[in-house]
Amino acid sequence: MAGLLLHLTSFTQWQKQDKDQVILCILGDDPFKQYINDMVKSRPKNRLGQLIVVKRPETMRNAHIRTCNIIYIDPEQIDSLWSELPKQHNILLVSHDESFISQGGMINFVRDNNKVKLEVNLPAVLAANLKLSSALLKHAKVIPGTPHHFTSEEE
Amino acid sequence: MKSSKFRKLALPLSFFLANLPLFVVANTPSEMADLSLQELFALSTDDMDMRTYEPWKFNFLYKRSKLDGYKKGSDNISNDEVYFDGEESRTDENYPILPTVITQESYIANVSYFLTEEQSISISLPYIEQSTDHISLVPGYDEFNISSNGIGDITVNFTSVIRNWDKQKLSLSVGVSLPTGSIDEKGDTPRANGDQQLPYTMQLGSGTWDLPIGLSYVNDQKSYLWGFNLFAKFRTGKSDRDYRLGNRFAASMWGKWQLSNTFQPTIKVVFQDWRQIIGRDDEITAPNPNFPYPAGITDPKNYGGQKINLVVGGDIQVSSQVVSVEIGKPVYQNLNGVQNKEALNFSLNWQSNF
Repeated sequence: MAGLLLHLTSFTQWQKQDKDQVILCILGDDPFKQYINDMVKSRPKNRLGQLIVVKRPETMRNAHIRTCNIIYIDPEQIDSLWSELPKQHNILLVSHDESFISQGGMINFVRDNNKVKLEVNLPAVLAANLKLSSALLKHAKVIPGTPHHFTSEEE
Repeated sequence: MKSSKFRKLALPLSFFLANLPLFVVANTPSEMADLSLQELFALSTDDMDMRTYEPWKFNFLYKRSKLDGYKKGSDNISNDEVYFDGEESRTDENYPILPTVITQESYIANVSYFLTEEQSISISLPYIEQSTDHISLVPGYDEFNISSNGIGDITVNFTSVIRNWDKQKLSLSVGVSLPTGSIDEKGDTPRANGDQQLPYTMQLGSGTWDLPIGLSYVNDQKSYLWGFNLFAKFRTGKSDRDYRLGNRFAASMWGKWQLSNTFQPTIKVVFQDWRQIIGRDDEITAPNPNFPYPAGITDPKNYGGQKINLVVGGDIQVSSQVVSVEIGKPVYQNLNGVQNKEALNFSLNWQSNF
């Protein structure tokens, strides 16, 4: 999963993007730990030549997550993410939870027949002004999901 | 014609190749980072095990130490003072057979298997070569050399990280040393014609089941590392020859500078304390009730002491291979009885992860 997560930095186009780096934030319980650090140490740049910066914000406060280009969220913390995420954002949201897409998540890792596959919620991706490469989408299962609907309290 | 045949074959061949299942191997984070998207999707979830360590580690250690000259306590004494040449009176501190230079070499192969990132089991197999030059009062043995070689005591260890802070790590190692090294080495000594049982220093093993235990602390500050090691080896029971080597204790403190990714110089201070032999191998004594020990190394009281070694060296690292070189010299020795003193020691260690 760590490898696929890092590949997302090469196959995603952000509206507001630093051309030199992509910030990947891991929120909540971190399943990748040192492994993803070692991968980035071994290959610090993605296929587009951008530096991959892995951050693990201590809290999910807006100030901590608004600089992220990709957020990998621990399934246990998804509810908290919705309460902190601004309504308008340009962040690719990734997790591995069966209800993630239906809640408005964008990319979900699923296990299928002993392989890891991607589910993509294209409407949510487009609503965040993100573009995913067709090279990625041809490997993914596009789910007819929707963007996350914020409650009035969250707004 | 040929070109048409080739085209006919090329199409099904390219279809076949394109549909071949991908056999991808990625054992390390580095290898995983090099995989393409297609290769990642071809991986099974088992292959995606996010292991950050290599499960096997192989070490090969060569150690050489040379003992030359004598000490009584912390004082240097000359060979003449220890050698009984028949002119002066015989005492408990002079001997008619005098080991002058003792050379000990060990070739230790060590294989570790990591059960988890922080727990490993290892087995060490030593091969030992020892050689001692002597002078003696016995006609025909004025100058002679005795050597022994063979497998030493095999050690099995379990090591576990017991505390892991941000930049610090504390590990505990417990093990057992099996009495696989011979304590029946024989050689031609002046005691009699032919081969006789050799003294304790020339034996290859302890003859007892021993329990090594170690505690190691590492503080990694990126540009430099420092740490300390505490080590003890407790002997149990007695050997078949009715003696037990003394317990050993060691404490060391070290520093390593990360001069570059490939070279790290090291400095280490090592304190060692080892005890006297308990019991006695009667076969290496002489039939003289007043002076049963023909050489200092046959007297169990002439074992044990303390010493402090200053060690300098360096690590050379290329990929997952590390070669370490160390040269140590004693700066303090306080030895029980009359003993050969250590002059210099050298070690070369090659480590490979796979």
